[in-house]
Amino acid sequence: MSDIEETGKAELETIMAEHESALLRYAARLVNDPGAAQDVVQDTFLKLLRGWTDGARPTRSLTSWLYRVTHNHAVDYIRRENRLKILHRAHLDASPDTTPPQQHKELERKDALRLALEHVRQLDPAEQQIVILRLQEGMPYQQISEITGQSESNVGFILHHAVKKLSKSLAKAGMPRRFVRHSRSGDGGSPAKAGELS
Amino acid sequence: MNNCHDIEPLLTSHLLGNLDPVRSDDVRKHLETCSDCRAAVEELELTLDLLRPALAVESSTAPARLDERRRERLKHWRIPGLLLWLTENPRPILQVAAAAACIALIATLFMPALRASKRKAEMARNIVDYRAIMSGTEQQAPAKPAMQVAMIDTFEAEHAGKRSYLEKSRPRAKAPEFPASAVVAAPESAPLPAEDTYGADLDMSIEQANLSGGAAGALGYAYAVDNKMEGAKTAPPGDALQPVSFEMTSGKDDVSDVAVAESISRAVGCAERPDRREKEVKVAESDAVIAITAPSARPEPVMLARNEEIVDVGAITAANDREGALVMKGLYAGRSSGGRAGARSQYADSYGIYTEQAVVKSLEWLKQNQRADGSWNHAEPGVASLGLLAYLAHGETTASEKYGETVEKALRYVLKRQDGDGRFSADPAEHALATYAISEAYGLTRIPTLKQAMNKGVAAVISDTLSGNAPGEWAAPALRASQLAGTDNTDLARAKESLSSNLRTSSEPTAAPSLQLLGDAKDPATRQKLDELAAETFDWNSSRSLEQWLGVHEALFRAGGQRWAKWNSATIKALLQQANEDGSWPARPDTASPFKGQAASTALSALMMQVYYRFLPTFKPVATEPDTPAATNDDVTIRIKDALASAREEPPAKPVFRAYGSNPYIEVLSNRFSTFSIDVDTASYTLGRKYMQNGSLPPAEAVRTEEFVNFFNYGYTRPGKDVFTISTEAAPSAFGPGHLLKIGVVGRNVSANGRHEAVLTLVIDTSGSMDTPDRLGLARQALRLLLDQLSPNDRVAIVQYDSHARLVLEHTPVAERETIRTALDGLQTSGSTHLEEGLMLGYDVAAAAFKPGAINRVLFFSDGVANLGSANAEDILAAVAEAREKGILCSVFGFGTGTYDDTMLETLANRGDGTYQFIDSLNEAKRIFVDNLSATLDVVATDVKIQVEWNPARVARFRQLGYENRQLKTEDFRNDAVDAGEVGASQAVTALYEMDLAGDEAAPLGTVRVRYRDAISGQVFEIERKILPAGLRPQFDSAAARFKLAACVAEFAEILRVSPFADGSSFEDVARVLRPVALELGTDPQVQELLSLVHSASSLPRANQ
Repeated sequence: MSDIEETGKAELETIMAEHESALLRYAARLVNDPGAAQDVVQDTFLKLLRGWTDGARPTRSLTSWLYRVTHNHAVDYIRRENRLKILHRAHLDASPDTTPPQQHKELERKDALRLALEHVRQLDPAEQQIVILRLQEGMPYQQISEITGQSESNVGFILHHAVKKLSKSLAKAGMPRRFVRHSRSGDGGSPAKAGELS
Repeated sequence: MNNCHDIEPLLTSHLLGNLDPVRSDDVRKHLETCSDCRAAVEELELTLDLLRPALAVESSTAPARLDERRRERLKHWRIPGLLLWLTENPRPILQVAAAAACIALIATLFMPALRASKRKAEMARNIVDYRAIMSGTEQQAPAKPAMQVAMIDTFEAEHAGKRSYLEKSRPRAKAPEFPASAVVAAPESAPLPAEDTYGADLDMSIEQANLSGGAAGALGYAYAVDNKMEGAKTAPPGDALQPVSFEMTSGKDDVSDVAVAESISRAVGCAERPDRREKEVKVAESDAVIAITAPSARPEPVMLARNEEIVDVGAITAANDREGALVMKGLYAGRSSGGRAGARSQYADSYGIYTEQAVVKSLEWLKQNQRADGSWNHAEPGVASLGLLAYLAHGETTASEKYGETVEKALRYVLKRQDGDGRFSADPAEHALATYAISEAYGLTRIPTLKQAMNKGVAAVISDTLSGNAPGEWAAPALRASQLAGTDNTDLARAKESLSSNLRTSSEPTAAPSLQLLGDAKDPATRQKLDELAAETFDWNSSRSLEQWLGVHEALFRAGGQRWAKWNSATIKALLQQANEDGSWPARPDTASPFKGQAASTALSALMMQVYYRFLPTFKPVATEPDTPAATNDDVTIRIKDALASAREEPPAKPVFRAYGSNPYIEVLSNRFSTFSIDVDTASYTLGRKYMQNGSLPPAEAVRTEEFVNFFNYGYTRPGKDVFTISTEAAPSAFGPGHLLKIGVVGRNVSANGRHEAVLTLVIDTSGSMDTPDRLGLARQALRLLLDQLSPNDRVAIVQYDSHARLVLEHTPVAERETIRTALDGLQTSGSTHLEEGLMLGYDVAAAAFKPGAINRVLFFSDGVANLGSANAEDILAAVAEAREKGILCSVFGFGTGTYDDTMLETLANRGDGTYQFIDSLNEAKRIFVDNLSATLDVVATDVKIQVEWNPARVARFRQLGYENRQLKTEDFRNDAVDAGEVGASQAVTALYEMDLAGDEAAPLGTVRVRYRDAISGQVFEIERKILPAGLRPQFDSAAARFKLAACVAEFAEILRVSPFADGSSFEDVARVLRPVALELGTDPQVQELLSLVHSASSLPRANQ
């Protein structure tokens, strides 16, 4: 193998080592299927390889480019597989009509978290994307803006509306409101007392 | 005024800390007055609190890596077409050509890039204008201006009070648009020379020229096309001409660029087509000068600004160009900072870290001791020439910021000594030496005055040589250097031939280095002489002159191989041991050398240690340090731009350690004080232990002797009423001549009322890199231990940070243990590492809860890897130092190896008046948080300094083991404004010295003083204790077991850090001495563990970094 080819391979290895697990986590969250997540991320890297020869390259930030392409592939995948329908069914399962609110109050923390996730999946793709990027991947608005093409303030608005939407849908689903009070955000508001479970 | 309609959409961003301060303030004010929005915030917070952990749960559906099948598919995905062919073609030069062809295809599609060359033409005109101004004429630009521009008389210019040509051209060179890419016809490159395996021939400029052929042609053709030059337009790239597109980057240092520019022009001059050659030469010259100028004007951003233009070219070749595939080494490329570091790491063995430090110190000494007229010894151009060579070897020229003036003065001095016949000295050898220095100076600077001086000087050397007038060992370097610098003397070849035939028949082995330089490296006579030289051993006190030793050293370096490795380590060790504390070398005893005195010794010794980068062996390109970007390295990189480099956000993580060198021996007569700041850290030992348990020795730079020594318990008696007690013990050393002195200083225990109340802020790194059991997992276990030890009214807050920082738990009394524990268990890892935000928030939280009289401490848990925020430390450190003033202390706890940043964490602890410990196991956590909790948290004294005043009547010289980065100036001992270390309750600190005793056996060895600030009263105290002869054991064996333990630990550390003073000692020696000690201290598990580490060490390889 020539040096050049080796260098190219090494380059890919480096990029993969750096990003693959984050991208897989992101893709898995979007498509909710491990095998599909692998496909999505593989396609992303293939696109990167192809880009090297086609002359197209990620502008500005490689990380943002990878997330954007992963997102697009994931959305394509969801459309293709008609995933939305399945999600819709999940939504029906979790709706308050089928389960009385009183029972929800006794939900294990684990179940509560799972339910919250299902509600996240009902958001619009654009909302989902921003919620996941900010709250799961911990990205700053600036990078989210790079990935989504939305302005930074728009990112804030979309996120806000998504969170509000979730607040409502979770309340409607009878989600207990006092889980996990100790893990709260840093800057805003007054410090809260920990640990109340009701 | 803000109303709910405006504010409400901002609430989520506000909660997440994503608003700018102004808007954040608006929101906060609004919330105070608006209950609706407060309710909305409450609601949002609840949702966010649920979403975050929900999303953080690593769904079982998310695999960490692509599976093998998909991975294979990616691996075997082939780059189609041209690149494929390219990648399969084995010969490097063909690869270059192929890359060129391939890129050209793309580049032609992107004509805008070509347009950029117009700006380049403008640039050239600017330079021409500049030249006109410089020469005081307004004439029209001549067709062939550029190289001449570069040669504008720098000396004259400097008389006008300015430093260099380049600096002056800066305003003009502002136009950053020097072209990024171009389509070009390049002359067919000559084949690469085969690597010389025995003695390297040093004619690098020629090889460089060959390598640069394509590039030079590229420049030439681009220029020709743009200027509608005849030939270029009518002769598109033909069979023999490979089109190439490229980008030229260059460092700040003008010097080697000029050398490379010359190679380029030479290469183009070699082009096969006489009809086009001339134009191309001209053109290449112009461009070469532009290449020199533009990056100097804007050292860093130039490349980035131009990226857009070659995006596609870059993308195509990104795959084959990771670090910049074609790095053309300038003739003097090894002399840049990056080049030096690279060369050292490749050729200097483990001594590189010491030699560079010694070189810098000696250059500093030479600067300080230069006489006003530029000389070092009166009336000796020879010594001035040696000094010059030492600076030039380090890449320091008249343009150098630090040494420019020194170099210039020395140059002037040597030039002044030149007489009408061109002779610098009546002595032919000294004259040759001066010619050597001037030639090298010209080669590096291209100052025309020097060229004349060189030409005249070399003429005299040649006539000496041809007339058999014994020109000495400097003749060959002088001839060689002047040839490389481009002298036009036509007799040079004849002189070289004559000198070579004389030397070949000489019986003196020291002719070998000269023969190598004359191109006879492979001659049997040379080989035989080399063999003889390799059998010698460098000896400072030998009758050989130091310049002969330098010759031997250089000759063996060029020959390379095992012999060199052996010779190098022995020689450098011996040389370093002779160094004075001030960076100089002592004058040598009478030798054959005409150059005597300290300055000559110092310059020659420096040159010996600079051999690694003075001459690079032919065609063994040296890898530059990965953290030295091309822009700070004066290699000229012809790089097919790596498009992804700018997109990559985080540098590859690797362990970061910093070497501080070794303390030297100090003659008591010259300085009878040894002053240092106390250091109670032990991280270096635990980190080293972890490395060894994982199967490799720690990197030498990670070993700090004092932290090894301080890890162990020496059973000192705790003070009663006093804050400190001092104890001393001395005995003959077990590992060398001389004696070892051990000084123990112990702080008192906490008062009867027990430990102070603690207000602790835990700052925990939860970035992705912490996500292993030996990092966050261990930290969590350690914190549980701590929690169990704290008393109910101590308070703990938790700050977590990854991509951003957040307060997880505000200060909570330990009485509510469960709450704290739940918060700890809830910590999840993800994202990158915003160290700055984490620390800032931590200190903010600590400041808000500050309680006077209590222990206010930030406990920082990290692997040290920071990749967001100002990871570049200074801002963070300033903030930490500020908090220290307020009385908030810090403790740093390191976790995990592999990507560990030792330097960052240690510096953090130093600045924050804190301690630094590395937690490698639950046992270590137990030692810190259970066994020594009060020492960890409670401070009895701050700014603790120790000073030993030696008694010259009893001690001849001394050397401190360790504390290299804690040394203080003698006068700072009593300067209470100078910050120093802190000592926790019942904490003990041990200092060790190696001494050579002398004289009066009844006299005390000296006095130990400890100065400290009482942590409670804030008052400064000083206590002292004489080192009485009674504490001096007659034999090592009669010393206390704990003394022997300290001696073994220190020796172990010194060997691990490859200290030149651990000369000749091996791990086996340490084990032999330690074994009986371990038997005697059978109940101390730490000693048993040490013994097993020492046993295992000899079979372990050094950790890769």
